[in-house]
Amino acid sequence: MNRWLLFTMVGEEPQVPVPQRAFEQIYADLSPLLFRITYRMTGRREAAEEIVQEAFIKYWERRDQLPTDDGLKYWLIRVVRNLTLNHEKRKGRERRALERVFHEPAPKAEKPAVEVMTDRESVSDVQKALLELPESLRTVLVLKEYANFAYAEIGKMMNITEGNVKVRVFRARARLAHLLKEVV
Amino acid sequence: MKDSERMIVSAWTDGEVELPWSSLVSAKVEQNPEWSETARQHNRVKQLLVNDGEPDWTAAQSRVWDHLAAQNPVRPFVAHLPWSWISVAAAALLVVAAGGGYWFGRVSVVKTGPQMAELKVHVPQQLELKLSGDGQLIMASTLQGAGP
Repeated sequence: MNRWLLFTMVGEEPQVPVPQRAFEQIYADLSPLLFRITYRMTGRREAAEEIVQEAFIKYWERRDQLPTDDGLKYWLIRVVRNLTLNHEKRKGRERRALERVFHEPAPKAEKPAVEVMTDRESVSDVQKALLELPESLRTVLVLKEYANFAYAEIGKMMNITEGNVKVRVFRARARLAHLLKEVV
Repeated sequence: MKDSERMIVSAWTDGEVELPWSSLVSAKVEQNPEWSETARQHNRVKQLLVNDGEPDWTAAQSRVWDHLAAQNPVRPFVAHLPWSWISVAAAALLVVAAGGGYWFGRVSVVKTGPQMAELKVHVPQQLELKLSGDGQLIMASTLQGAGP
């Protein structure tokens, strides 16, 4: 009886598989944008690669429930953002653990963890300034400047109002102008 | 200049101020030095961000794709067939197997017929059998038709 029920239910709701070719196409279309956004959010190439890879694994696991239009792009960007936040938290914990073991603060402990992360890589002054912004401001500015999204689209992705996006972009630019005052 | 005004200029540099307000902001930026300086500053920050060098992602893109291929997503196609397809295929196989089994079973019954007929030839005509059960009844009825 159970077997018959299983067959019937599966048959009534046919799942449309995303063929491998479509997956390759989605990867080719969206990965450059995701690499760019993630790199600007973390300041590290390695982290960007790791995060983009994880995002596409998540996409593959849920591909049958995900939209196929722009909604997919927004979903992937949200995933990348969450993974970036987790990555930063994890790095922060690792740094604090090391500090406890060696009983001394990290070289730039008073600065945000994200800046300490970049010490090992050579990043530009602009990227360093960007990483000094709080995540809530950095994300909207990155999506605006590096992905060229409209305020309304950013609002949808981050689940905030368009007005809020406008405020955050303005504050992010004002802080950057202050941080980069020598060149602005 | 108030923060709210600076924010309007920031949105205007992004093309996010709608008509007719955008023309009014443009006029104000042209006429007012403070508004003009704010617009210049926002544009300068935009320019610095956009022109900031970035790694070439081509190699990273291939590397990540290779990792994806080696892990989960691009494993053999059959493994990704939906359960409905697998169920239908299994049911079809079952039907084919059952049909085949039935067919071969029928063939084997037909083939045993001549063997039994061959046995009839060697039985004497006047043979009397004691009937004691269905099995022997069947045998007897067969024997009756075997004589010349």
